[in-house]
Amino acid sequence: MCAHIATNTITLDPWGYPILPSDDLTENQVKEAHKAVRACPRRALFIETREFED
Amino acid sequence: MKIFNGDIVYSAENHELSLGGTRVTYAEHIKTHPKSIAMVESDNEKFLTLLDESGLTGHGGAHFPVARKLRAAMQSPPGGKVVANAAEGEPGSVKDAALWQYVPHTVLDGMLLVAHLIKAERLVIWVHDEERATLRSIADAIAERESAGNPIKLDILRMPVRYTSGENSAVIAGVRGEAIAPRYGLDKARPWGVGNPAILSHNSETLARIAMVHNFGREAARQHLLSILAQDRRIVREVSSSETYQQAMPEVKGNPAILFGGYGASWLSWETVKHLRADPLMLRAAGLSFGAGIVGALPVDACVIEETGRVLTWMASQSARQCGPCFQGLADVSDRWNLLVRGGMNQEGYSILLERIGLIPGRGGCAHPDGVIRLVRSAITLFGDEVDAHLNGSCTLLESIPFLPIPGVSVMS
Repeated sequence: MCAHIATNTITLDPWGYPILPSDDLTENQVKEAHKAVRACPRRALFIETREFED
Repeated sequence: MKIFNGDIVYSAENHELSLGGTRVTYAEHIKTHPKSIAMVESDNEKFLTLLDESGLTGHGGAHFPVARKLRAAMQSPPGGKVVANAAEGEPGSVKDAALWQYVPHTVLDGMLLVAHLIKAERLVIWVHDEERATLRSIADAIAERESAGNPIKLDILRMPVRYTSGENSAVIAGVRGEAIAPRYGLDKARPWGVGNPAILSHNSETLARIAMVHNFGREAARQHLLSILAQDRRIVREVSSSETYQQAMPEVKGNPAILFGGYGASWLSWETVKHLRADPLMLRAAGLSFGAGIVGALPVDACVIEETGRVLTWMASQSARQCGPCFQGLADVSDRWNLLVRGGMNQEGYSILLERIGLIPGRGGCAHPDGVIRLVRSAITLFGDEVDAHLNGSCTLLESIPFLPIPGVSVMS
């Protein structure tokens, strides 16, 4: 489900399980990532935010 | 200071351990381990410092520093449990069985010491249901202590046999009466939960070494048990951190492939291994792992690709089946690998196999799939020639007598 919602962020492995990005999300990805987190029926996803010093 | 006087041989034929000597009773034990009765005398901090300096690590495989783990547990509220992990799920390993069957009181002393330090209320032994000789020895040990006026209260949890049920968080869950499967996202320092009394699980050998350090000082932490795999036997041999593997295993000749550590560890060449010291801390510094202490020199007429396939298939079946990339991924990779074993895979198929291998590590809830893939990758890295031979359909070593022990499969030779 998440891969269908967050098409620019999450892909599926050959066994149908989500492959999550290891890099930080781009601006485009953040919105759809939030949708995916809300939609997950197993509540398996969460968004991790990190603070950076400027 | 060693625990054993010599090798202990496990004969696969009669499923028995035999030792040139006998099991140590409680009466004999307290003669040679005078501090057995007087637990940590005054100073917890002094003993912890001793353990720190000894460099003792956990001998279940991860080799995490014991003193550090104990200190974390001591910060939890009292009233918890000490668990001796006697599951010994690694198929090649017999060292923990040897300890329980010959020197149970050394392990029990270790449990009592840890219980004293963390103010635990219960002692638990986590053991597989079928380990009858171990269970008998424990029952005898309880009776011996009772007769000597020093009774010990043990909860013995007899668990069904499964590789992942010996994993630390699975043990903690099982002790709590929950499903016996690894948990993820736990605080590594306090997997029983901050604010809860500790459920502190240690490998059986670790507990024995804690007792040895208590009696004989820090040098006692520089001994380790190997389970040496031979065709029809397994040999438990105690070696010192300062010995090289060549000194520890003078019987190895030539340059065989070595299964080093366990089924979630690595193949290495004997040329590499022989110069290494049997020292968990040094091995870690070298990017390797002592693991469960399993060392198997592959016979010249065995095929490393086939043996890897057997381990991979079995380890895939041992998945706790909680995470797709593990139970589905390992099953898929196992099927493909076995195609390679039989010479039925071409270059394209091999590329797909490599791609799939890359998709598994880090995507499970525990380290089980990572360990398996580590082993498979070490076969690919070290034995490229053998892989090529299989891709060309030309391995001549297949169907030789299987070497690595796989539970549930007995070999008639």
